[in-house]
Amino acid sequence: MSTESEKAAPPAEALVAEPEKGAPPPATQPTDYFAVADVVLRLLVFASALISVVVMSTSKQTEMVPPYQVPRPAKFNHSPALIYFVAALSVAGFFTIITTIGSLYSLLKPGCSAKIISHFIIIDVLLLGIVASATGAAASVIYLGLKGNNHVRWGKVCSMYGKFCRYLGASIGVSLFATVMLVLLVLLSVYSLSKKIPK
Amino acid sequence: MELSNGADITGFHEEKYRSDKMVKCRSYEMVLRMMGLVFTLVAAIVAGTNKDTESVPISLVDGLPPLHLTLTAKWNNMSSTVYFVVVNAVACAYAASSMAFPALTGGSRGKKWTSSVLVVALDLTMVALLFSANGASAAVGLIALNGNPHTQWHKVCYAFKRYCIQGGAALAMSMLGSFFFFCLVLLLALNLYRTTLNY
Repeated sequence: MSTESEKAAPPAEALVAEPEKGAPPPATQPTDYFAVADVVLRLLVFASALISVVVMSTSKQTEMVPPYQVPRPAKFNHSPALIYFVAALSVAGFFTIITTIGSLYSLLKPGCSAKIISHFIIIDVLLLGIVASATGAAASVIYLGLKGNNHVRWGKVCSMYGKFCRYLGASIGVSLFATVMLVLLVLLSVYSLSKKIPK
Repeated sequence: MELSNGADITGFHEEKYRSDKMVKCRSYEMVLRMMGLVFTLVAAIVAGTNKDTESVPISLVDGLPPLHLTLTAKWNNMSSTVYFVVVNAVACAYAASSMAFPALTGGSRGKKWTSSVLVVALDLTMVALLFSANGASAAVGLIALNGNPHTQWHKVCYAFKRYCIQGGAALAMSMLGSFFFFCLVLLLALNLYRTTLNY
């Protein structure tokens, strides 16, 4: 398929360029800077997903609860939203590794990069949805833990488990960064794909 | 002379064919934006008018008959629902205003892909915001439905049934709306890829 598109591209270009004789031939770039930026952004997304999963899963804290002084741990898997967060960020990290390898491949073989980029846009937008929903879910639960809710008498949690909440907040911040990076990644892919249209 | 004329004619046909395809894609885009507008509007209205007054049995002391209190659950009692309503309203307003974009940048189809990067950026922001609002709303709704024994957040939905059903309906509507926004980005990527191949 890739060779086909490679074969198909030059005659069409020649056809377009033929009427204007004075136009200089299109300059060939030795390295595609879009692809390099793409790889760097993907590595950033992977790093931030990994950091937020690690921080979230090491955020265990055990405190003595006042009435009977019983040690009670606070862990992320006490809340379904935080479990979803860890699962979603793990999936995002895993898929980012795969797409990084694919992006490196398209960096080495520039001929078929349009197809690879357009397929990666779909994966990236899906990952954006997953990571954004996980961030929203975890952030809403942590906000409830921080402020409580008087109307339904859900008490604060963070007044007791301070370290736990700080870890969770850091994890949410890092995953928010991953969300922004994913948005930039899709934008970069769209922009580089639009640059591949010959004038 | 003859050859260049023939090339011109085929080029013209190609151009016409491409612009026909582009018009078709534009109409799909309009349909998707319209669906996104309708569903996010319905979600914002359904979630924003959510109010339920019920007499809730509360047993203060075991053995005594429960005390019946008349309590009201309103949408703005919970901060995640406020976020949900605001994001859906913003997405609805954006979908309405974005239908004017092709009219503003009209007449320059095909070549001006770089100008559509701004539209993609806004679409992606809406996707991220809508998914995070859905995640936040679903996470808090799950706590309201099942409670959380670890943090002593008790159930709410057994008392306010209608409130919870209405909230769930709003969540489903918002998910459909965000799915249409998601398809909008995918449609643009697909269209861009096809334009890259056609040249």
